[in-house]
Amino acid sequence: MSKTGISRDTFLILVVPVLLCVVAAVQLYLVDSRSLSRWKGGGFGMFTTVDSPSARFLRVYLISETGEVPVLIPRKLRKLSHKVRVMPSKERLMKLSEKLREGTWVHLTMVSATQHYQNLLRAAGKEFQDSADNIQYQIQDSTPYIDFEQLQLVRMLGEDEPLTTDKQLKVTGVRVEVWKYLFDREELVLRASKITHIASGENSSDV
Amino acid sequence: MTSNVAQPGIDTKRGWLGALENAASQMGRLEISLLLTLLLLVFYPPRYVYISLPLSVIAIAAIVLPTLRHNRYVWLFAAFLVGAVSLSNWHSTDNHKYLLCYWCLAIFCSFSTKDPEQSLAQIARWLIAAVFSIAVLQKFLSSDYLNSDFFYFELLFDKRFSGLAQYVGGIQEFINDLNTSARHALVNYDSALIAVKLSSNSSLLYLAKFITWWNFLIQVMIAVSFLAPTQTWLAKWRHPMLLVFLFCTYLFAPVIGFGWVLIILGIAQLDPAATRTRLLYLLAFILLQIYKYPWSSLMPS
Repeated sequence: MSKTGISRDTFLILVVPVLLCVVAAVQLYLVDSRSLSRWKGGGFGMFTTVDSPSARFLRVYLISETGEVPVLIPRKLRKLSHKVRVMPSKERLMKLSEKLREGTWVHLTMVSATQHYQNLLRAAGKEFQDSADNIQYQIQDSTPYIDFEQLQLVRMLGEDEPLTTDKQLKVTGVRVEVWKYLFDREELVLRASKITHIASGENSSDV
Repeated sequence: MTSNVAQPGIDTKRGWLGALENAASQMGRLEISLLLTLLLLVFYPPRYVYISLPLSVIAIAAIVLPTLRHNRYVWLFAAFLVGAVSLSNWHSTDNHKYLLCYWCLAIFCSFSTKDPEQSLAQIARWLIAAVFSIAVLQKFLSSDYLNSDFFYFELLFDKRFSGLAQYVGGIQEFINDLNTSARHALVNYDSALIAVKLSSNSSLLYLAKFITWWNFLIQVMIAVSFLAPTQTWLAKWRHPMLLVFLFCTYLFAPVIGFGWVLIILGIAQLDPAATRTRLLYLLAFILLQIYKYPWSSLMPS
């Protein structure tokens, strides 16, 4: 028996359940103070609320000379964006916003699979010229089913991706909004509610 | 005086049930808890390959080598691996991975005591008591659980409940499609919507209320029975309540890893004489795997 009256064995028996309770207490604090989703953080709050990480979503806008452009989160920033959704701290939001602003954004040029194949053949050299001509011969009388000219999409180039011939978008700022939806059972409505937001160059946030 | 002549039907059933109980009771509760935990580490490790690979290799080795599975540092290492990956991926880690980490740590702690089997039994009891007490507290604190809003939402949107919603709640497939499209329209990256209207069926509310209160009350009873002193009548309900929870809940929410941990916690603290209850836990261990099959896909739409 130690001087505190708790035996070593009793301590070893209680330490793990106490650790569980401490982690859960921290999770409850973060849910209340930092908008942590109740589903995460080791608080055993899964299946207790509609406010799961999948009920939270981001609306991201690039600010350019022509106005605001809504964009998808690039693949390489998905982990960070997921963290922002689960617990939208100011620091994390600012980091996401800066990474989006620092990226190189280009207008996405889409072509059909046939056209892409033909472009590759033409770029491959003289020995592939006959194959490229053969493709041209096959499609010369056909009408494309999809008009890609009407699509207006932008994407962020990868870190090691060279500049393409696609037109670059001049981004002067970024606005990131974190939303969640609430379920109104009486009116049978999913209602979006903004948790917080940040704009490049500003530290504004509404909770 | 008992008859030695086998009676067709009755003695045969008693015979095979008795044989199963004998087989289930051949191993001590500590040994079976260790083996089941190792199976859990092999089949449901954290999904990151840099963790799941070493974990499954160690677990397979420990299944084969008793010396390894009785080495407390193996369990400390397992707890470290599971804990480290859970913390570094806190945003996506589910609760049962935390529980798995605690359980591996509990095994390490119990091997450091004078009576590992008894210590592990006590830790298992307090872990179940803590998990369910906190889960009940979370439901109280949630703004949309006790009013049945949460399960109403789940019945409308969660594919795991689609069979229940369709056949009991009367939600037709086109309503599902409508609601899914509505949600997608709200959360899509280029959406400017603030609200979307959903469709439902009036009988869904009763189903949602039933599931809400069933789930809540059974978890309250589990928490109370595991918190109550062992000699009380409340404590006698520990394993029956936990088994009912296991058999019912994971049919609809097949988070098998969580179910398996709860089964192991139950077995670890079971009285060695309760062979039939142990058999039920082992049956649950197997049944939860069968629950993974998408049974609702077999039903006509």
